[in-house]
Order: sequence, then C-alpha cells, then structure tokens
Amino acid sequence: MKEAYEKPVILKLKTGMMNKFGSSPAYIRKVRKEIDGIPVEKLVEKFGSPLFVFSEKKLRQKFREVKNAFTLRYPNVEFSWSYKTNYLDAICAVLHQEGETAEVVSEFEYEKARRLGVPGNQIIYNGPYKPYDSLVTAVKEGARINIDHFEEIADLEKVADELGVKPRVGIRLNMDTGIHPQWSRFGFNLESGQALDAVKRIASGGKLELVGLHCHIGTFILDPHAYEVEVKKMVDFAYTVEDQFGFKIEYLDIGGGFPSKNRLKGIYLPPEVAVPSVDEFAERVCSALLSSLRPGDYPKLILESGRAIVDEAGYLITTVHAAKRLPSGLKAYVLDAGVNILFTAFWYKFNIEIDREVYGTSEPCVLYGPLCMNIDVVDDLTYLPPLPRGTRLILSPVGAYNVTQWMQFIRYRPAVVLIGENGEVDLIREAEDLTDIVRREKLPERLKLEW
Amino acid sequence: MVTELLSRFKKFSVPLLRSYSAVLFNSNLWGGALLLLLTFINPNLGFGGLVSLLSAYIFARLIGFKEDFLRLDYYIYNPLLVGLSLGYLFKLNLLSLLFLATAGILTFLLTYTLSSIFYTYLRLPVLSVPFVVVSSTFYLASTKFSQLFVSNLYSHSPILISLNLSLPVEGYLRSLGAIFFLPYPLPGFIMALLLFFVSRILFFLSLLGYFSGTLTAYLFTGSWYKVFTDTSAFNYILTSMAVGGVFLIPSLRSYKFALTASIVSVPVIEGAKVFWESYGLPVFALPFNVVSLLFLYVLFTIGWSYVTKIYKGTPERTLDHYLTYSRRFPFTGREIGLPFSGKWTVWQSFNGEWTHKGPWRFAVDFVITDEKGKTYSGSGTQLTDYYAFGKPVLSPVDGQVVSVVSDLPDNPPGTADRENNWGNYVLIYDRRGFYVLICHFKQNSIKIKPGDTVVRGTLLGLCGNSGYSPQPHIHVHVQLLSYVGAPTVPFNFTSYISQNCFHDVGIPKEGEVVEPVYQDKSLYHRLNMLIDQSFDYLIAENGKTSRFTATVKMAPDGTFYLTDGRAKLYFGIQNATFYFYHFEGDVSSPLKYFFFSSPKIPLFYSRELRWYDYLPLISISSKLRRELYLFLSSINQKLFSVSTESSWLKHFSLETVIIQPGKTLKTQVELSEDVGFEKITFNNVEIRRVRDEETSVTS
Repeated sequence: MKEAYEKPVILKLKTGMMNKFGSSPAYIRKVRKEIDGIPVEKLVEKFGSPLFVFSEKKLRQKFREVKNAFTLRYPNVEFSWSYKTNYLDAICAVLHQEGETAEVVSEFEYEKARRLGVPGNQIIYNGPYKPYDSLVTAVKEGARINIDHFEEIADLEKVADELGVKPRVGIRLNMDTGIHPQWSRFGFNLESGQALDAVKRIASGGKLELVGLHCHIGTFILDPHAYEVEVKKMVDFAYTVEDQFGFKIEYLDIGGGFPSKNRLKGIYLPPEVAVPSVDEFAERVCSALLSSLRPGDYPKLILESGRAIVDEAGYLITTVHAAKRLPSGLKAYVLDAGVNILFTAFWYKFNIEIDREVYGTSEPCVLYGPLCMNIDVVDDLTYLPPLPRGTRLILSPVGAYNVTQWMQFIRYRPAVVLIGENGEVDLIREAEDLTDIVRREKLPERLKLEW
Repeated sequence: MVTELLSRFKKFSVPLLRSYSAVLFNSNLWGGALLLLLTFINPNLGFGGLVSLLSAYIFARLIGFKEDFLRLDYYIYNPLLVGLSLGYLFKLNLLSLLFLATAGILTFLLTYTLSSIFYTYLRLPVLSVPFVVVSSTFYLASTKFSQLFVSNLYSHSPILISLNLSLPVEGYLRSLGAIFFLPYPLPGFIMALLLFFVSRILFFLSLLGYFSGTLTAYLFTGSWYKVFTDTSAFNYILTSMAVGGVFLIPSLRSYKFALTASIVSVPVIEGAKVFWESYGLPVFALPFNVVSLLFLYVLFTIGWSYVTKIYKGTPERTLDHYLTYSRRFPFTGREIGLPFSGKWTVWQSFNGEWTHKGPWRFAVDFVITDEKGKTYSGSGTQLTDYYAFGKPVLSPVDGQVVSVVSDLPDNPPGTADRENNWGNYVLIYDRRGFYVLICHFKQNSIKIKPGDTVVRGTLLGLCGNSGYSPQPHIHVHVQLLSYVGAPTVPFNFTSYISQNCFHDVGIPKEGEVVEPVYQDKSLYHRLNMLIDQSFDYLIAENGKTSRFTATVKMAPDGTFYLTDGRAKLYFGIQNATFYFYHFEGDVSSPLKYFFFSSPKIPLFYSRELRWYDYLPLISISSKLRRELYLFLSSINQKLFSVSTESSWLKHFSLETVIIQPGKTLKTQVELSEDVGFEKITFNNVEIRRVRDEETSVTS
C-alpha cells in the first residue's frame, strides 16, 4: 500500500517517555471503526459531525455492575438517577427502566422528570435553591425533599400549613470525611452541631417529619475510605436523631461522586490503575453500614450515582477540519467540536481513538476546537500520527455532564444518537438549527431592519 | 336511652340465642330465635330450657365470667338441654322452677369442670356430656322427690296436625325434633328447613347419619317400623354432623367417617338403652357423645391432618377458611430469610440432581450468574473470576451461633474437598426450634463466633469455595439436631422476589433468580396499625352513603383485628408482608372490602412487582353460587378457588384483580399518608377515609 505523503519534519529523538509501563506513544494508536457494531462513518453520514453517541448496552451493563456491587452487599438499596449528569429523556428512560428513581436539583429537572412520567414520589429533590412554588408542587406530589438550609425549613413549614399536610423530609449534611476540598457549602455541618440544630428546629416546628439524611461528599472521589467515614457518621447521626427526637430515619442518601474510568488531568496513572473499582466503594460503604447499624435495622441506602454509570456509555465523534504547525513546532489540529460541547475537557484527558488506520509516527500535538477563543482546547498534549483532513476522532468517556453543561456559543449543538441493544440507531436529540435559538427572541417593531 | 337499652338487651340475648343454634352446630342468631320459639310449642319445654339456661348464665356472670367467654357456646347449651329435658318431664310451677334453676347451675359447674379436664388431658371438646350426666342424675333424683313427682309430672298429648308422611320421612323429622325434645314431625320439619337454610353440609350429614344408622339397625332388627319410630335415632344425626362436618374439615373422607360413626352408634344406642332403661331413663345423647368422642380422640391423637382448628360457625365457613388458609399460608413453621443480599441464582434446590439427596434433600445452593447464565467472568480458572466469591453471606434467621469452622482452604475451581464436605460453615440455632446450616465460606472470612447472637441480615462471612464445592456457592439447609450433617427438614424462604413476582414464602426452583426483600420502613410505618387506633370511613355503595369506624383491637391470643362492631378482620405483619389473615362475622360488614382488595401487601415497593394470593369463597357476591361452590368443594377441594393478582400502581396504592370462577373484578387500594387505609374502590363501592376536621364540618 502506498504510504500517504507527509511533509517532512524534524522530530526530537525520543525513546518513548520514561515510564515503567513500557508504552511507547510514538507507535501506539487506537483505532475504532465502529461503536457497538455500527460503523462510525455510517453514523456521521446520517447524523453529521460532531455527533454524540450513547451505547444503551454499555449504559445498562454499567448500571447493573454498579447496582450488583451494592445490592449484593446490602439488602435495601435504591438508585436514584442524577439528572444533572445527563437528563436526555432517552437516557433517563433507560435508567428508569432499570429501576432507578430520579434525583433532581432544580425545578427545571423536576419538571423534566415529571414530564417523562416519573411519579412525584419517585423523585428526590436536592439542591441549595428550591423556589417556593416548586416546593409546593414537590410536597403535593410526595417527592422526597432534602433540605439544604434553615430558610428552606421555614419555607417547607409554610408549605405544610398551606397544604395542611406534614411533609416527610430529609436534611442534607456536610462533614469532614478526609476529602479536600470539603464540600461545606451544601446542607448543615455535622461537626459544628449545625445539623443537630436543624433537627431541633424541625422538631420544635412540629410541621415536618424528618425521615431521611442526605450527604454528598464531593465528586470524582478516588478514596473509597471517605465513603466509609461518611456512612459511619451518618449512621451515628441517624441514631442520635432517632433516640433524641423520636423521628424514624427511613433512608440514608449517601449521594454520588463515584468516579468513572476517565483520566483526570494531572493524574499520572492511567484510570485503570488510579480509579478504584466500584466493588471497592461498595465494599467500604456496605461493610461500614452492616457494622454500624443496629441489629435488624436496614434503612434504605440511596445512591445518586451519575457519572460512574453514564460517562463510559457516551462517545463523541468529531472530525479533523484542519492541521497546522505551530511556531513552537508542535502539531495542531482544528476539530469541529470544542469545549462548547465538551465541558468536561476542562478536567479530563479523553481517550482518543481514530476511525481508520493512519500510518506514520505519532508526534505530540494539540487538539483545538472550533471556537474563536483561546480556551478552546480539547487536549493540550497528545500523541497522534499525521491525521489527514476528514479523519474522525472518537473521544470517550463523554457521557456525563457534557450534554447538560454544553453551551450554545456561536455554534449549534449537535445531534445525539443512542445505539440500542439490538443495533438500532435512534436519534434522541436532533441537531439544533436557527429556530431553536431564535424562538424566544423578540425584536421590537422599531428595530426591524429593512435591507 | 332506648339505643342503650337495646344494645344491653342485644348483649344479653346474643349468647342465649347462640346456645340454641349451637345445639345444631352453628351460630346463626335468627336460627337460634326460631328454635327458641319452637320450644314454646310446649310451654313447659320452652320455659324449662330458658329457665335453666338463664340460671346458668346469671350464675356465670355472678362469678365474673365475661360475655366473650360465654360465647363459647358449650358453656350454655348444656344447661339449655338439661332444662329442656326436665321441662319435657315436669310442668312449670314454683317447685319445678327451683328444680330447673338448680339443674342449670349444676350443669354449668359440671361443664366448666369437665371441659377443662377433657381439654387438658384429652384435647377433646366436652360436647353434651354434662347434659347427659346431669339430666340422668336429675331424672333419677326426681324419682325420690315425690312432691315434685306428684304435682308436676304431665302427660304428653301427641302434637297436633298429622302430616301424613311416609314412615322414613316422618322418622327422620321426629328424630330431628327429638334433639329439642319435640319428637313430632312438624317441629322436625321446621328444623330440617332451618338446617338446610343454615348449612347444606349439615343438612346432608343429618340425612346421611339418620338413614345409614336406621338402615343398619334394620339389618340387625329386621323391623322398619321399630327403627323409624325410635326417637333416640337422633343420635345418628348428631354423630354424623359432629364427625363429618364440625370437628373434621368437611370432605369426602370426613363424610366416610360420618357414615362409619353413625353405623358404629347402632349397637351403642341399643346397648345403652338396655342399661339406661332398666333405671327408667332415656339414653339422651349418650351414644352420640361416646361415639363422637372416640372417633375424635383417635383421629386427633394420630395427628389426622384435616382436623378443624377454627370453627367458623358453619361447616361451609370452616371449609372455606381451611381451604383459603392452606392455600395462602403453606407455612412449615421454619421460615427463614435468604442468606445474602441482591440477586442470586438457585444452583440446586430441594431434591437436587447432584448432592441434595436422601437425608440432605431439603437444601438449597446459590450462585451468582450474569446475563448469559455464567457464574464467572474471564476463564473461570481463578476463584476471583467467580461472581459469588467473596460476596457477603448474611444470617437468614434471628438466633444464636452454635458452631463455626473457618480455617479450611478454598478449593481451586473444579475441585472439591472430600474430607470436609461442609467446608467452612456456621450453624445457627433458631429459637423456633431448629438449626440452620450455612456453608462453603471463604477461608478465615467468618466474622462471628459460637455463642454470638445474630439477627436476620447480620454479616456472617464471605462466600467461598471450601468443602465439597466445585465452585463458590452458598449452601443452606434446616435441620433439627445440633450436629453438622444431621438430616435436613423442609423449610421455606420468606419475602423474596423472583421474576418481578413477590413471594412471601416459598422454595425457589433450580435456575430461578431470587432477590431477598427487607421491609421498607415507610411502608411498614403506614401499615403498622396499633391497638385502639381508629379510622373513620365514608362508604358509598349503590348510591347510598354511610359512615363507619374501624378500630384496632387485640384478640385474647395476641393477634390484632380491625372491627366495625359487626365483623372482625384479623391482620398482622410478618415475612415483610402485611396480611389480612381472615374475616370473621357479618358478611355485610364493609371490612370485607379491605380484605378482598388487599389480602396481602408486600412491605416493599418496586414498580413492576406483582404478587398473588387467594381469597375465601365468601368473596363471591352471589349467595346461591357461593353456597353451591362451597358444598361441592366439600366433595372435591380443588374445584373452586378465588385467586388474586396484585401490583403497585404508585408507591402507596395498589391494584388487585380478583379472579372468581367465571368472573374477574378489579379493585384499588390507597394507603394513608400517616397510617392505615385511605381509599378502597371495589366495583361500585367506594370507601374513603374521613378525618376529624371533615367530621366537624359535615356534622
């Protein structure tokens, strides 16, 4: 086969970066021609580029893996789908089918879950800002509300009076689990006694029934031990509440924050080594529970895992639009997808796969997105062989946060497809066009242009 | 004021009327009233019975017996029978009144004494033994009481209307009447009608008993006239009813026993007659008592399984209750939880094809499988490839650890330790009287030691591959002896889900994927109705609206029931399941809708969960069909059943489909926010809870 022409370039001779794993970036390249059996080219042909692709098979498999890890170790577990990580209807529907309830953090997410058909009492309503009207709706529909601050206690008491009911609520705790940064801005602090004050406040108000505790220690936590500390502190606090105030704590919601097999920037080890398996997390959490709970007491353990489930099920297909040589001698590529739709590029180094065999030595390069902004860097240093224009790159894992945090900045957001378990390819979000963006705009009559 | 008087009168009259109907083995109040009236065909008889009954009743109240206690009818039907027998002999005046009152009190004393002796030593009911003893004694005594004898004896004019009946029919009717000392065709006829109305099974048994007894007697004596005019033939009737329909569950078998018992009574009657008549006494119900008690003693002692445990007023109700109960609650008394958390697959169940054989046939093995049915990922050559390996093993029961072995090595996959079959194990003693063995733990993973107290769900250790175990799995069985490897006995697992179906008890089959359920605290709190809690309801039925209140009360045996004054609906929580156990009392009570629409509710919510149950045939609204089905069920128990299929609609409301023979009904139940039932929709009936605030508004 004839080798493609590549303009000659002088490369500093390297025998591979010094590392004990023996990987030689100069010759390593990963090729992925298909996702779940569907050729990448076919997907792009039909739905355009860039394109988010989700694998239903991977999603279900990942959920079951996480679920099994916990349910095989503790007998009363509920999984609540963290909407903020990915609230596309189709993704939520798959996970609701698998038995997850919905965890929402805003009235928007609440409404979205309800619209999808999730009953109110299958929704957990978290978040520091819950508008009053949304609290009224949530109480009416029997959602489980985890209170974030004293003002919210007052709000809920008002709702209770208004509706003539006694809402069953949880409170959110924050605590020191040895993790930095400590997320102390959410909920009531445990060590300072604020959490106990909140319980006292609820008890003295007499209008709310405290039935649960919630805590979320952080995100992308790599230390399973932190969860062990969290669980033990929560169980202790639950019994304090039960014994001193007569409330019955029915659930312990330990939040989420479990990592996916993504590579955080600044972490040297590959995720396979750096990220503990979900079994390790489950082992810590469940043995902490079984050893600190009173005999015969099995409150519901609620997990709001999002990223760990959906991240690896998502891929982004992007196309090389141009290649250039930077003055520094570094090779650069311009892609059709940037941080506008890949918010997580700010902290992840994605796994980059190429859709075809490309010959030539890999060289260090930087991947830029399509924005006219300096920050639009998808990867600031990776090793790729010389990529001809039109080459598709498949970036993963991108399933979590991107399709919720993506921005509509100077470009339209691309289509999202879901590959079903039997190879069916469904468009689950159409690519945007002008109408999506201008629908809400109003041009005052006096400003109408007459060109 | 008037209502108060009425309710006091009711309280007083109910046990009295019950004692009349109890003579014919039922508890129908109207029937009792009719029988009371019938005895007044002969006023001496009527007053005699009533006076004796009242004196016993008043005496019982005086010494502090409670009404509930007096509802145990044999305490007062014996005095009634004695009164009738004396009224049959003596006219009513002051002297005989005294005589009757004495007899009533004596009978009560004797009944109390005999019933406690019979029950304690023989586990037998007292039947009408006290009546036979007291009546015989008083008849004998009266021969000495010349004052009484002279002034009060009266002659019987054979009663009124002749019905021109054939001899056998007249004989049957006379015998039936003779039970109430009215050996005439007309009262007999009315009683036959009553019996038919109250219970077809009793009516059938009365015919069976009478004609099998008389036919046998004819074979021995050769005189139709003699057998059909013998009034003591009522013993055949009573014996047949007691054996065939009351103390045994009505069935073809019990009918055969009834037949045998009536035939056996023939020589007993004739023999007793010779003896009793030599003292100038009628034999009363002696043969009935002797024969019935003999049959019952033998059947009870050998552990005959179809013995009536709770008599529900008529044989039909009893049969209905028995059939429903045995379908709904196939409990062995050894119900244990699954020894793990999450979804596991049954590798080998009872009578398994590999090792669950002979004395160890009641055992179950569990492994974890993936979607392809494999128990391992990768090559399966490492123990760590196996999903089950290292997973927590939880205690299936509350109990005490008896013995533990923890130091045997885990075999590599595919090999087994033939020396130490059970491998590392934990043996737990459950206070209900059995031992649970769980084995093949991972080496040194057991976290408890002998003497420790464990509860269901306590972490025992980790699943391993020690002992006779070619791949990591959990073995569990129940045994009655304390050494490892003792013979196994049948048991049940409680509260688990298999293919989205909730089982309150059961033994899963090989290949079934099961997941244990631990009760949800919030569902538990909603259904844990406590004593004296009461709930007000509005019921809209056929366009009419009325109110009723259901209150939680405790029965003497410690079980709880809801009652609206007309009926009792027993309920309880066990096996992570809320049950309505059974319904007792007036079928018109709206409490039945609670029962029919939610015979059981798992204390666990999952969207697609279904569960199945059975209802008694009283849930069929057409009385005629229901009674026909019940009668036919006594001949073949498998003929009819009412089953239910329920599922959650939302977290706290459920739907039940009731499948009756040839008809399907849909019902809905909504649980309250706090505790109890909020709303029930059953066909065109709607029951809705009303709160105090609303009460004050409406009133």
